[in-house]
Amino acid sequence: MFQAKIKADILKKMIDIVSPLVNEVKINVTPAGMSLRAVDPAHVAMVDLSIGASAFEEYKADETEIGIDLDKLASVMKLASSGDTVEMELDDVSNRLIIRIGNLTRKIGLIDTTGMTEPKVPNLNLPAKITVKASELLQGVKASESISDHIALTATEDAFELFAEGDTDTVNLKLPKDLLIELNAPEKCRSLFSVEYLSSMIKPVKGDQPLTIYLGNDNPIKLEFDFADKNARAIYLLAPRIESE
Amino acid sequence: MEDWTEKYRPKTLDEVIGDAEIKKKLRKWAEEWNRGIIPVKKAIILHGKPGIGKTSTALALAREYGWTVIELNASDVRNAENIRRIAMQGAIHETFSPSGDFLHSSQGKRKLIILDEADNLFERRTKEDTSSNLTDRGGKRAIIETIKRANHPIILIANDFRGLIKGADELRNLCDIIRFDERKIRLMDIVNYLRRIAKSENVAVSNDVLISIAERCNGDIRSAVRDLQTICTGRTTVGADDLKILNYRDRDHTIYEILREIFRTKNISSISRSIQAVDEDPENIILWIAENIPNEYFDIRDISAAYDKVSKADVFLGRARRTRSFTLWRYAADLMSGGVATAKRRLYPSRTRYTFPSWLLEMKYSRQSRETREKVLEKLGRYCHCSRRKTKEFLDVFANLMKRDENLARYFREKLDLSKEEMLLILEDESRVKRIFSADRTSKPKGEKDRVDRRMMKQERLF
Repeated sequence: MFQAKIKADILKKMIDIVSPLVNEVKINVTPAGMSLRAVDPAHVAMVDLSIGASAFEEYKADETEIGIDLDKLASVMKLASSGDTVEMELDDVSNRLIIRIGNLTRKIGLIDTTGMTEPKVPNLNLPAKITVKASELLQGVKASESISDHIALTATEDAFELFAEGDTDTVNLKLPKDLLIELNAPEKCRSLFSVEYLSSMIKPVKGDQPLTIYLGNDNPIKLEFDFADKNARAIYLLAPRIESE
Repeated sequence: MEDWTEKYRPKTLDEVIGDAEIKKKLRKWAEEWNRGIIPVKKAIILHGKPGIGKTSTALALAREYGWTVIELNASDVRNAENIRRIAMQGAIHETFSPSGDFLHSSQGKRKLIILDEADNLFERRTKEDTSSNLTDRGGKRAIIETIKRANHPIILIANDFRGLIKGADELRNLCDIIRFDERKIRLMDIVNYLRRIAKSENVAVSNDVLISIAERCNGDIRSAVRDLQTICTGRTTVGADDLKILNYRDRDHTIYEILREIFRTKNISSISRSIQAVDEDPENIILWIAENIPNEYFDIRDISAAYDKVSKADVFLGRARRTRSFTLWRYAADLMSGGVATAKRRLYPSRTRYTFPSWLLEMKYSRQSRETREKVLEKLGRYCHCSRRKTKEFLDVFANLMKRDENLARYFREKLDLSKEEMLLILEDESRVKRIFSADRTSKPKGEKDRVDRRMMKQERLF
């Protein structure tokens, strides 16, 4: 059984977070909330999303799984305006998710979840922790988009730095410690990442919301942020670029 | 019901039936990757007939060397965009395995990118490509780029090697090429493999049956397993009599067999049986028949009678297509096969090869120009408030006007925003198109242009 009411904004946010990486997802439903974890088809990035029951207006659920095509869900959510409340209900018999927005009812056929693996979040050695306003980082990533497809992120004791190099141009964004909410880098850490992935991962974070970054040396990056009044949390992992000699 | 071809897909390279040389070569390649060396050839093309074990080999190799697999097969949309998004991104980044482990290439942990049925990609150019040159072909271009930038092993799988290489000569140099040859497969290996499957399914299958399935499959091991599954379903023992169920047909030259039967015999019942057994649409078969009638029949009256039947069959095909009532295919099939077979008044001596329907070839090669034509029609149609079909009726007139008057051509180029290719289609004269385009850029003296414009304005009112 699954029955819930949620603000349209929160559900939209969830789609924004997950859909750049995967379209078909398995959502785990428990009495405590919903969660999903998935690796993208290129096996380069991972998303781990959890929405606590308290993020919902109403929430009643047993343990169950919902396999859903996010494109379909997104197309329904386009019809909801920002103040709306969305009602969701799982119809076990016909295996469909019923979505109600105002007087509109949309039933979405669910997908088979057998064979969909669920990744665990790996243990990684990421010594540097940086908390930054998302907008500050997004600015640097956006500036890099036009000149290169990859950027280097570096954390030192007193600054967090972004560097992109194209054929002729470079972009450098240096955020000294006092511009950051938190910086804790016991050693210098540097890794190389895809601009495209990074920008799609930062975009869902609203303007000056804090975004926590964990960085290592030639290791994945971990991005963490809360939404829905801290009742929901998203974690992204992105594998580094292979630096060819 | 479970598909045995998946259930018994070999787990290791040793289990894969096939050429030991191929395995050796692949292992050497894989070991280089695992030692952290990037081999000279980052990609390998495996080609050979269907069901011979290309995909199984690739998957077993990945498993043996602990590689994560990204597989793009026919069920995915494999256009340039998706190849870049999935294969290329996968190829230049480190890896998360499906179970969520992070794998670092410096420790020899690779991911294998498998592009299955690579000879069968979606080759339409993407939007961003349309501006660049015409030889820039979507999917293959994306594969070439991916290989060049890759830091992970890539395997391309194709039935038709020439189809894969066509328009992408570079691939030949970028990849190691391995051909799967059915003659290198030992019959006893297939028999043993089938026996193992039968055993673990608890079905007693007699040796002759296994041998005869293995012989018939002609190197197509997948179809041998399918046949075994068909024959075993619902049984605990299988003897030689049960082979009948399989209703053996020759997989490779079915369409040729049918043509031979239609053109050489008058045995309607046998023809209609085989036309039902073949795995082709009547829509295709009719093209084959129509193409080859004049190759087979000499007497003009026979040819005429045969085409008469074909045309009647086509009427039924049209009705079936329009009304979606595909039961009508029956009548079409009878007319095009039995009808054509009985149209001949005598049997003709045997002829050489049957030719591929030229209409299909024509459609394939002319796709580019047909697309351009559609675009011209659309642009012109919008200007004249006509449908594309209506516009087609006066496209020639329009083209002739433009051919005769370069100023008019220039005017319409601007007005309709016609591209170089579209202009070429209309004017059919490359030098003139070039002149128009270069004149455009250098911008003609203003007075002249104004004069043309004013004249056009007048004409426009007439339209």
